[in-house]
Amino acid sequence: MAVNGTPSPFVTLVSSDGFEFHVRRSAACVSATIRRMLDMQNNFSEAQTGICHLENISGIVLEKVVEYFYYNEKHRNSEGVPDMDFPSELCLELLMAADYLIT
Amino acid sequence: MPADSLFDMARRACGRYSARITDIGDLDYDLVRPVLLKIESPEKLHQLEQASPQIIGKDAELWMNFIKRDIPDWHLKPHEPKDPKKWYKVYCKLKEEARLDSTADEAMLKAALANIKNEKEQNVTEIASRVNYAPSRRSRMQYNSVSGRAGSKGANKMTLMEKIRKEARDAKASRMNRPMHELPKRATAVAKPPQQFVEELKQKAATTVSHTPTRRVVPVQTPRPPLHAPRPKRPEIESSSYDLMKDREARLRALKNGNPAPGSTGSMPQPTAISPPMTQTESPSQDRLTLDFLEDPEKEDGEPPRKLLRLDVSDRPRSASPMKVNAQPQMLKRKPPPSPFMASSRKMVKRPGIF
Repeated sequence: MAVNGTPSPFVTLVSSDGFEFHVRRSAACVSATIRRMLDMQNNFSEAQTGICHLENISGIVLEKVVEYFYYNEKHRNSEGVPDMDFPSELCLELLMAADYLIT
Repeated sequence: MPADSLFDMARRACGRYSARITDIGDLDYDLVRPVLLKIESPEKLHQLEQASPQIIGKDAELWMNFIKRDIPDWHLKPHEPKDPKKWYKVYCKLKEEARLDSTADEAMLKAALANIKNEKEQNVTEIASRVNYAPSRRSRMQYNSVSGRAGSKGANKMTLMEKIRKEARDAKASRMNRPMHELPKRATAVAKPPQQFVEELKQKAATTVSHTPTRRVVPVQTPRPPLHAPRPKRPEIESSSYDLMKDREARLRALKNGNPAPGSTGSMPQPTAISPPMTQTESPSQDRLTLDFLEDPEKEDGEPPRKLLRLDVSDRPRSASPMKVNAQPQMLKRKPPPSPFMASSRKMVKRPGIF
């Protein structure tokens, strides 16, 4: 929802099964894929609307991904950050999602 | 430096959970490579290949790892399949070959070991078990159908020869049973002079001493009963078959007739050189009785002149024959009292004490 050329500080990420996550733009932009989606210059529809449809990521995985976004932002300036705890059944899907989102 | 990328984190998590991962879905090989590298069994990799064919052809390095790990001398065998789908087949074939090889080697080793063992057994000395010979004729004859035992049952079933043998055996055994510390005692000091030696001495003495009058006189004075026959014949009396009754009768007769010598001598049996052993084996008590009765402690002296003989006998300690020493007291008791000679014989017995 870019109004007046000033982009909203929040973006919406929509999973394949319809879950929506309102995420701070700065956090979401950790992912190179999302950053390019939302780049005004690329003129994607996502940049216009501020809504990213991630069709190949399920809600559960997307939740974890968003969690990571904030985790990353929280430890932006810290050293030796421990790994997040992932449930084993999500490992491979997270790997796939991370590969897709280039985070 | 912020936190690691989600990709790295996820990959590490996958590595941690790789044991539980049974399906990689449509993930790219490069993504899951760290996970696949951690797979241990070729079977599992094969399963993953079946489920996710996209990794086929890219996982040659994984297969090579397996082959290097499991197949000895893999580089000597053709191991790279033309078709990348056949990696599992090749692996299975090589594995089977390796198994056959190892079993063959094992069999060879076993055979070698068995050979060694056989050789050892052939070299071992065996203690042959006691051979049970067929029962002897005697034991067969003595077989007891009731008790089922053969052979003699106790000493009373033994024959004379067996008894003798057994005694000899026992004696031998007892000799061998002697305790170590007692062995030296066997060499005992000489308690009595040997018979031969004594007799030689006596003969010498007879020749030398014969002209010493005092000595001579003493034996003459001994109140020997006149009945007792000419002395030289005395020793002959100790034969085994001496009959007490006959002797007594003879003596009686002699008394009646007034000439003692012929009666007693006539009743006496002829002497035999081997008489002493004979007396031992047969009725010893009887023999002893006769000896006592005839009370001739000097009888062993044999032929030398009687008087000298007696003198010598009285002189030396009565050690020549233990049997005779023992016999003497008995002789005194058994001596028939009725004759008037008894008193004189007693004196004779006392004489050693006086002497």
